[in-house]
Order: sequence, then structure tokens, then C-alpha cells
Amino acid sequence: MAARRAGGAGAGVPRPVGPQGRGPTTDVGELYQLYHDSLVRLLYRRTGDRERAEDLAQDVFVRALETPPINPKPWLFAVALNLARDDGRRAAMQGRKLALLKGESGSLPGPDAAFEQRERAEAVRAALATLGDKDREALLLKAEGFSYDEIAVALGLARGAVGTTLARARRKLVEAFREQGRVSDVAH
Amino acid sequence: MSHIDDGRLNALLDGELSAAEADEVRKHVATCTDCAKRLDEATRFLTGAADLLGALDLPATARALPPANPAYRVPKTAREVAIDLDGATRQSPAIRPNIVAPPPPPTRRRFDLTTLAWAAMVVLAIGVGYLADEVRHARFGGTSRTAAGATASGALPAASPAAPAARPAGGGPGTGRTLRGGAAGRAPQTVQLTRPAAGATHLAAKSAAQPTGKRISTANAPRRQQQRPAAPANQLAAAPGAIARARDSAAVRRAAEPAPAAPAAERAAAARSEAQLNVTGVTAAQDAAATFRRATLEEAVARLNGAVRLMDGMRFEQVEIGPGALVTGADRSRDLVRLVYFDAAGHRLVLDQQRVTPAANGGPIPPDFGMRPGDTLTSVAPGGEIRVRWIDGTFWLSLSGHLPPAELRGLVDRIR
Repeated sequence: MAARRAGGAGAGVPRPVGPQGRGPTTDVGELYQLYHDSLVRLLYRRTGDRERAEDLAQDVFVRALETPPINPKPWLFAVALNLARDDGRRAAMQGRKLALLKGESGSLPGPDAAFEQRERAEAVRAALATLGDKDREALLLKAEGFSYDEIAVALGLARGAVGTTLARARRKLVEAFREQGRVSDVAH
Repeated sequence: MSHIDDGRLNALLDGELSAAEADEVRKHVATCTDCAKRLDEATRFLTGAADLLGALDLPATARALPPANPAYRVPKTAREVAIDLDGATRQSPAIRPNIVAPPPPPTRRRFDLTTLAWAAMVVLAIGVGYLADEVRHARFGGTSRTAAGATASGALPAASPAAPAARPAGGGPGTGRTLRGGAAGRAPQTVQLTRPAAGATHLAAKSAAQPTGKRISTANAPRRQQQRPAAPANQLAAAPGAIARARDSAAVRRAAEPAPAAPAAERAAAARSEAQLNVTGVTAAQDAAATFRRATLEEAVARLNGAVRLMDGMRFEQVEIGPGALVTGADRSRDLVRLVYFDAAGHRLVLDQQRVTPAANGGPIPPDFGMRPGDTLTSVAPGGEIRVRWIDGTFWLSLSGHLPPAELRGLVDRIR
């Protein structure tokens, strides 16, 4: 956990965690087949930029080639979240986010439904941004089908804390979204 | 026992508790209104969050768009991929690419001119034939025809409740003609969306909860009826076309009464008839108990492409997932999500749901059932269980339980 937090896109790549010995496949090609789409989706949810998400996913697999993980699934997603976090910091510093938002809305003109969909996605992303890192990442990992055990390993949490983290994250996400005046869009 | 914390409630909903732990939590929730309320709340936050995250799915790009075919593949949802990865449902038929058809046209034409022209020609031909027949019998004294016609048509209104009792199990030669005559005379006039079931009576009706719904189409009804065996005589016959809401509850009551009095042989015959028609009613429900598997709400949300319909004010019991083929009217090619609730009086309520894809031509959904968005179908099973089915947007929904029809339909408003 400490190593993961200390790391990021640079030298502190999270070390493989989990059971040693025989385990899931560590063949990067196979891992790519298994997890690439899921990683891109998670990274897109996190960054809001498809191309950036695909670039970051590529970076994840490059790191997997450099340091073959033993327990690959949590490792890959933990690296992806670290990269996304660092990328977000750099983007904020460079003001790239504003350009990105401007570019996306300008490049995708469409009918009303598409516009509303984009508007809703932006509102959800804004609500997601109000969550703490742990809460947001737990939520994104759960959305990718992670079990509590896998979330605990990927985020360095105690298993017993995952339910509480998810409960808080779900509540905060929905409430943050409601505060933006979109109550009717949320199941309630 | 102290209250259950939100973490455990979420773990319950996510299917992360052991069987013993889950039982313990459920028992507590059943007796603690505070925890039951928080469980309900946690369920809403879980589905709400899943729904919101669904808005962040990858946008369609040129890679995902159809090359030529109007029905095209879309990427699997996050959860579907994740479930695939887990291997938990690899063998399940539910995990297959979504086929998205183009949206239906904004306005649906019930009849086009060609159809009307053909209908007019058929009516004209029947009228001419009837007149010719009348003339022929007037000339040659066809009293036997008149008598047979009176048996067939005159018996219609009164024969419905009386026929089952009068009909021998084997169908003797003397009664055969009467039954055929009654069936032939009645079939084109019986209510649409009615299915001959195992002693069951089905009733198509407009739901009181769906005032803006469209009327049930009658265009294909005569053809459907001709292709199927005549319904049992105790099956409800109603006016063609849409049925007035006021008749609904009375008709269901009337329909439910004769079922227990029907002869056993007739019920067996009706059951065989249902099996032949592949209309799985009660038998499917019984099979479903063996083939539905327990699932988490998260999994259900994933199976329903990011959203699930829940019922307010009822005690949530469990989620199950099973093949759609096990439930009458559902899309047989997809899995179905089943949410089990209990009301305050302890009645078990089953809410089945599927995502449906509107037909490209605005036609019925699913195509073999004849329902369209806005239609509501109420049916009565032999055991007295009432079932309400309807389509709401892209959801096919079915609510069943041992409650009076009006009361069950009233619960439809609670489903959001």
C-alpha cells in the first residue's frame, strides 16, 4: 500500500500483490485480451477522455511487460488508477482539462438526445470528482465487477472496510448528482 | 441485536456475505424497521450509482458503428465484461452482444391502405357469400342450416360458463359438433392477447395505472386465433379491441371462478394444449424455481444494462436471474431478472424484468407476444395468482402475487 501510494506514473509502480505461486495468467498478451477493454472503460470514466484512456491503458501494459505481475488483475487496475491520478494532476496543472471539455463538446455536435447524454455524463463526472480518491476508485473498480477481496487488494483496504467505503461512495455520488438539479434522473 | 451498519448492508446487496451472515442480516432486517429502511435506501443508492456510472460508458465511435446492417453490435457493458472475466456466467446465454435495432418511427401506422383494401375485399366476399347462402336456403328450405347456425351463434353469450360442465371428458360424438361450432363462431371474436392456458383465464386489459397507454392492437387477432386451438369455454371472452378498464376487475373475478370447477380431464387437455403452444405459464413458473439462481443486485443491474426497476415500500427479499424462456411473455432469448418482495401482510410479490429492444417497425415487443409499449396484460393463473405484465420504455415488466387484480395493478405505480 505504502509503495503504491508513493508511486504513480514514475518509479513507484505498485508491486504485485496477492498469493504467490500458481495463480492467474501472467502472459501480457492474454492479460491484454482479458482486461484491455475493461481498463479503457475504467480510465475513460476516470478521465473523460477516450484517447487519453487508451494511452494510459497502453502504459499499464508496458509496465506489465517490464514487471510481470503475479496477481495481475488488481495490479493492472491499481496501476491504471495511479496513472490516472497522476495524469489528472498534470492535466490540472497544464489546464488541459478545459481544452478537453471544449474540444469534446465542439467535436460531437448531434441531436438533442446526444447532447443530453453528454450533459449528463459531464454532470456525473463532476459528481464523481467530489468523492475522495478511495471512494471513487472503489466505486469504479466495483463497476468493473471487482469483488470485495479484489478491491481490498487493489486499494490496500481491509476487506471489512470495502462495504463501508462503497456505501459512502454510492451515497455521495448520488447526492452530489442530485445537488446539481438532476434528481429526476437518479433512481430514488 | 445492534443495528446493521451500512457496510454490511452493502455487502449483502453485493452478495459478499456468507450464507450464514446473510441470513443473520436478513432476519434482523425483517424485524427492524430502521434497518429495513436503511436497506431500502442502500438499494437505491446502489442502483442510482450504477445508473450514473452507466452514463460514463465509452461513447460510440466509428469503430462501433454499423457498417451496413441496421442492427449492430455495441460494446459489452463494464459489468458484462467483468462477469465474463470472472467466468461466472460464461456458460450463461445472457452474456451475448447486445443487438441494438434502430429506433422505431415516431408515429406508428396501424393500418396502411393495402391492408385496408384487403380487409374490405374479405368483408365483401364474406357478405356476398352469406347473401348467396341465404338466397339458396330460402329457395330450398334450409332449416337445418338455420338450426345449426343458431346453435353456434346463439349459444355464445350463455355458453361460456356452462360449456365446461356440459362437455364430457372424451368429447362424445353428440357434443363434438356443438363445441366446434361454438369455437368456430367465437374464435374471431375473443379478446386479443388471450392465451389458452392450463385452466387459466387470461384477460387483456388496459391498466388503471397506465392511463396514457395505447390500446391493444387487434389487427392480427383473428389470424392468431385461427392458428391456435379454441380456448376453453370458461376462458373469458370480451369485446374485440381494447377492453374498457371498468370491465377489467369484474372480468378477472368472473374468469377466476370457474377454473376450480372445470373437470380434471379438461384441465389436463388445456395443459397439453398449452405445452403444444409453447406458452409456458404455471409449469414454467414451477420449473423456474429450479433454474433461477440467486444473484446480487449489482449483477442484476449489469444484466439489465445499467438500471433495474425497484418497488417502493415492500420488503426486499432477494434477486434471482434465470432464462427468459421460463416466464410467459418474456423474451426467450435473454436472461430475466427476478426481484422477490414481501408486502406488509406477508404476500410474496415477484417482479420480473428484462430489457427489450423495440422492434424496428414499431411492432410488438417481444414479437411473439403482441404487446406494445403502453399495453398492460392481466392474467390469472389456476392457483389464483394474478400477474400484470407491461412494457415501460425499454423494460418488459411482470408483477405477480396472490393479490386482487386491482390491488396488484395499484402496485405498478410503486415500481420505479
